[in-house]
Amino acid sequence: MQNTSSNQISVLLVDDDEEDYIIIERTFRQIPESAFVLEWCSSFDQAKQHIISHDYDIYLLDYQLGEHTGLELLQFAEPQKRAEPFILLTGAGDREIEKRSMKLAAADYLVKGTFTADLLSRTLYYSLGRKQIEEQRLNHLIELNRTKDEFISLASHQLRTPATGVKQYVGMVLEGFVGNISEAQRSVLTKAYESNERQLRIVSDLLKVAQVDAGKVKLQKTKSDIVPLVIDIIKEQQQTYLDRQQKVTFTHTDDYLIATIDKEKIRMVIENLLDNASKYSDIGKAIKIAISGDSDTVVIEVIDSGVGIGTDDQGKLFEKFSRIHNPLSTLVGGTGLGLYWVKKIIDLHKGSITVVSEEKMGTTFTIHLPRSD
Amino acid sequence: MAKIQPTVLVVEDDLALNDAYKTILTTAGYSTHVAFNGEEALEITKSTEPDIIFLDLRMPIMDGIAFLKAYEPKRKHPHVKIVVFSNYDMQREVDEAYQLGAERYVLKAWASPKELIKIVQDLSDQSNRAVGL
Repeated sequence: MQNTSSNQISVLLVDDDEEDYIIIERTFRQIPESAFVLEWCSSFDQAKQHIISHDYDIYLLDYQLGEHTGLELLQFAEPQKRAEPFILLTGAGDREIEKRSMKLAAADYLVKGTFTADLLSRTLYYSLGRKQIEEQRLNHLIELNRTKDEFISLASHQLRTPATGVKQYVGMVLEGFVGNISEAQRSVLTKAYESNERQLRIVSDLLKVAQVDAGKVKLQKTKSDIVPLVIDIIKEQQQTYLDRQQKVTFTHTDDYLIATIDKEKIRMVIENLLDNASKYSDIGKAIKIAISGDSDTVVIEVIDSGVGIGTDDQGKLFEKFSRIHNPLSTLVGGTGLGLYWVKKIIDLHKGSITVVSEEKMGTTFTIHLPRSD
Repeated sequence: MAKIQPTVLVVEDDLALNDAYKTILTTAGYSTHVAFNGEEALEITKSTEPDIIFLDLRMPIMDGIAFLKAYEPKRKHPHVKIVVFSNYDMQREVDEAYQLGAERYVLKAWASPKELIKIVQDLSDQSNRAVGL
């Protein structure tokens, strides 16, 4: 704030016309026992600097500012994101400008040459009061959101423990730790085990999404070669592909394809896409992963010849809890959170992910990752 | 020379999980001790030097991080392999556990009984190789 004591309210008038300033300054002086301290700025660029620095408690912007307008300043200031009210000064009958100023989150407008000291004072106090209420509401919403995130995190962690218990005890029976079981018993217990695994995956996905939504995911970027990363992922998931008689082919245009990435997160992204490619393809189908790059970008493509995604469904693929119905979706039983998380992670890397798909023909996911930070 | 079978200490406050891990490890032939919090674990280590410790992080009375601070594996027990075994994937706590001497972090939810045994075997093989067995 501009050299004001705690009970004073600093106001910046942005107006390129000195005569206007003199008139408005006179009106300010007519406010009885005024707490307002008015300062004047005639330059558009200087006003921007004051706005950036949050120098004043209230901003009064004239619509006409030489070759610029007060609406441009409003657009620049983004009052909806700030605690200080912005009030536009318009000419009489400028209804269109008044409407546009409201859309740009101006707190109010005053018609020049018509407002009295009383109206000016009330408008300024009302704008300040409204901003304070907005701020309280915003803080309340932030607090609610934080509580929600904490609840999801705590509930998810708490859910994991009993599910881990089920995994151990059913696992002990299935893995022969407590004697032999019949094939019929094994079949039933395997279903119970797999169902519990699915629950654990849901909890894990919920946690990952809660963390990314709460902005708690901080990328730990290092210069990494994506080629050995993919080789490692395929090696780790080999058993799954063998079980499903699916062959994964990996091609890369260069021996090294280096990008500055959070290696663990990108590993999880690729694992997720490959896992989907496998799950949503019939037994025996081929899966390809191809990496290429130019000087700025590394491109990762995961290509399957699986069930594919209809055009209508492609748009909601990256939405939270989106479940696309296809011949394998009931069997797979996904959470609808995986691709949402994948997109968030790619967004955090300032990259992009797109999908091209045709029903019964297959799907290609393409990721563009910037090479540098 | 026969390979040395490791002694395992499980520090886990959940009764059902504590019991499950004990059954799995004992059935697999490992000498197994269990504690329900860090304080009990410290008491056990006064009379028994385990080769491997599975350490939960969130526990009442004394949590996993407090146990590591008191046990000082880096300085006092460099041969003991400590596996942080938690269902809280909180990076900050895991990083701290590594700094305090933990060797591995395993999310409990992903370790089946067989995988638990495999972790013990891997760590045991490492120790055996280190002493030339």
